[in-house]
Amino acid sequence: MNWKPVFHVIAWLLGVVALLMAVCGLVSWLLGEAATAWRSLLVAGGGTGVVAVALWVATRNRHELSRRDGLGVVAFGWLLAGVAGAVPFVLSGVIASPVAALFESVSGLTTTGATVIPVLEDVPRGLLLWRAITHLLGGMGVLVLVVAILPFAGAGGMQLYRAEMPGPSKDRIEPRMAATAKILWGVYMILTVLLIGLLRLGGMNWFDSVCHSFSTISTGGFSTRTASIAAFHSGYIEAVLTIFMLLGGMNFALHFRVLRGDWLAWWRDSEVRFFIGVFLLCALIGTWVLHGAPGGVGAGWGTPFRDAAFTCASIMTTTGFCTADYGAWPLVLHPMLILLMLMGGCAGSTTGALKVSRIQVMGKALAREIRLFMQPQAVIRVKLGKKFIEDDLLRSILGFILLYVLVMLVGMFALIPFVPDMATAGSAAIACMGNVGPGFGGVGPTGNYAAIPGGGQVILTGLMLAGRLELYTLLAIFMPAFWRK
Amino acid sequence: MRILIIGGGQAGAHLAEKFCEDDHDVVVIDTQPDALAALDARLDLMTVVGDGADPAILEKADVERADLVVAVADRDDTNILACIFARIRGVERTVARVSSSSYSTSRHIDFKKLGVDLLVNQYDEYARDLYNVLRLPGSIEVADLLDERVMVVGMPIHMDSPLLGHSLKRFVRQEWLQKIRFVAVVRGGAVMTPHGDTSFLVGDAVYFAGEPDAVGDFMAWAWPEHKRFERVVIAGGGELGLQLARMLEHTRMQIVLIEQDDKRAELCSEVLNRTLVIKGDALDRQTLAGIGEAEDMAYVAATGSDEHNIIGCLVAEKFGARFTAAQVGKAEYIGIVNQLRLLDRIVDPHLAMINSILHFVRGKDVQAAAILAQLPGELIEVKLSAKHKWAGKAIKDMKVPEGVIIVTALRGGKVLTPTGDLVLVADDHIVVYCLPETLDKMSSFFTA
Repeated sequence: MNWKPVFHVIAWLLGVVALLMAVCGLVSWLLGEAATAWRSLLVAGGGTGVVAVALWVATRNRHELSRRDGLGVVAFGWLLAGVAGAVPFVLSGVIASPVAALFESVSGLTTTGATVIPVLEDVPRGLLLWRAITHLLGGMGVLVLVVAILPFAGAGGMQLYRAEMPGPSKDRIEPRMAATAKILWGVYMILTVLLIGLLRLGGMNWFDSVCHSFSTISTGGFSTRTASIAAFHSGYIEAVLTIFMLLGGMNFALHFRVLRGDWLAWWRDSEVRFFIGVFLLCALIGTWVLHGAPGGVGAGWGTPFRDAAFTCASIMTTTGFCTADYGAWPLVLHPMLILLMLMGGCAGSTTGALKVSRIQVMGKALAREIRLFMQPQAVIRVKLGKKFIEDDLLRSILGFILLYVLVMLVGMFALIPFVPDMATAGSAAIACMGNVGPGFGGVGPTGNYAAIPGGGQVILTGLMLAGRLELYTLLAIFMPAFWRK
Repeated sequence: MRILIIGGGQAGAHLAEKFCEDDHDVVVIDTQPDALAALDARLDLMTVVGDGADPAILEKADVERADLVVAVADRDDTNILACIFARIRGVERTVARVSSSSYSTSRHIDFKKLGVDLLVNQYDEYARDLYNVLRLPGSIEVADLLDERVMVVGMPIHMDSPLLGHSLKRFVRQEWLQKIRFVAVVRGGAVMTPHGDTSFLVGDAVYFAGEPDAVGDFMAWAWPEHKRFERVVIAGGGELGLQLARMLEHTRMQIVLIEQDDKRAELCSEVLNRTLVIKGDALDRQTLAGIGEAEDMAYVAATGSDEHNIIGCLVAEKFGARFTAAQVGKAEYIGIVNQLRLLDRIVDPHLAMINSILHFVRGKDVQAAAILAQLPGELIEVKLSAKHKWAGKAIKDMKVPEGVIIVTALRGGKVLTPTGDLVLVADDHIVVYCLPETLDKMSSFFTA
């Protein structure tokens, strides 16, 4: 790895972070909040800005960014952005422990949405906005944003995009990386602004609309209320959020095609069809079970459907908004929700977890093995939609799934000393690695991560980053070969 | 500009790299996912897997948004078809590479009308390159200007050259300067335009222009050691060997073509007139011995195998060949062979073709007059308009920008050497050489 080109890009990244922190500080000041709130944001923003400028000056002779350097930018960039993002929480006293603050900041950037703040209503609005902005940055990827702004020479830009965009295969929309990045961020912002308007129409105030919109399109899950979306008691808001969470869970390149007038683009994509199919199926199963549950959520079908649809969308898009305490639902629904947490949304979306297309490919590969067992002479190629999956892509997908499960298991076992029960350990590991947020047990929809001791929070912070950057990028920096010039 | 390249092999990859350097939006289509993955990892471009002549694949690559399509896939029919489809979808400019000379020499089919703006035969390009070197022994490279009325030749300066030690102002024989125009001097990798105080050093490569007879006389004086070849032996009767033999038949040299394959050898002998076609293995001593020794022999190895070609040249050297050239495709070999100074010349199958494609692409505003692969910068042909500020002025009175040389002028079919007293008038065709750094300024200078 070459330090200079790596930290040159990181300087830009930190510059973006610093600028947005300062904006939050300014908003906080304009809202007339306590001096500790806006000062902490401005000081953190200023400090990050100074570091960014210093790095920029020290590395300003431009160099070509190689493939390995790209990995370095992503891994170190995200770590440093996480650290910088944690500073305002500590300075303002909202979160006392630096480890917990880092957890909160990384949870925001990775769009996990797991929080260590028990009561959100006491938190200054400037900091709530900052939490939402970390979602916004992390959702489409702050480095994809840097690629869109900065002209990159060579293949380095592609490397950043590849490492930050989730999913097994990354197609370009335009020949040039910067143009592709601009389009993706453009679509992302269009959806975000649209949702702000729709939420405002539903009676949310401007501030909540902005924060929730940032959290939704990025499939993050931070709310401004302790009770999350349940606090708004609005069927309209829940319906709008359900739709936009699902949009955030689809490939943004498809949204671009739809915006250009190709309305069938969604339908033609086999991944989206599968994704929506799973959503409808799970929502209906949930409705049916909740309707028949003894002492259930109430009579009729309306409330069970509303809760089941919202929860399924929130869990499978790895957003993590809550309207109902699904921890108290009949046990038979829990495995379904855990499987949804593991699957996540589509490739090229803002969601976490394994991704629909990987699950589809795995299913088809397994079916192929069984058929080959019966008919050894058969020639069967794995197809996704109309596209053949080449054998090396297939191998890398299966390898990824295996590695994902392994890392998750290791994380889960490492958590056991820090949590009261297995349900908490298991679901915390799954929910953090999949960037979902809430899990079951102690970290369920009514709980939070404040009770987990520092050591556990460190493990979970690592899992969140590993899940968001899809493992390889983060694991690469532990390889000796990465450090060689 | 958005450029669609069909074929991601050696030529396609090289072009993609150049176009990316020039800041174009590049899309590459190839049937081999591996080749595309390698490109994608290295360059900022988009790749599409599939057959370039498949309309569905072309749509997938958004062909209608391309400004230029360059088809350099392995198959000629794929390339031509891809260009035709691209034109139907509204692409402004198209280039196709072909290997078979039956396309490029056809007088009956108008490829421009079909939608192929430029048809490049890679073998034509390097057969011409070799032909030029063979007809002017010792030269680095040769190019023709103004319908072969003027030649530009690059020659190395040796220890005992009569050009050494004089500046152009005090040139030993000033009469040469009435016929010969010095164009450029390449010294240690840097190129400069000569002026009155320029003197030549050992190791320089000097480029000069003049009418063919004048150039011949000048070379006989300045490089007396380079006698003309009496015989050229060509090993391999493939497209390159055959084309080269065909071109050389216009000279006085004796031509021998060795081909291993019965059928191909017969075909060669049908096509060629005064060439001696021999069936046999060029590496076999008997074959060479059978031709008989010759004082001034040149040997060109143009079989399909790089290894065969290199070894063949070494064998020929033992047999007294004064000049050896080999067609070598593998980049690794080219480096090694150059380093060991094994051969006099290596023909890189792609370089000449790539250069001509690049000239076509870049030369939208001004017409490139000729291509010299070893000389940076560009030779540009311009027809002077009456309004141009150079019209009606003597060359010594014009303010010719630094790094620009007027190479030659053509008035009513007559070549004029651009000495200081020559007055240019409207409708003169002139050829100008520009250093690379002045190129941007010059294109606007002439089009404005």
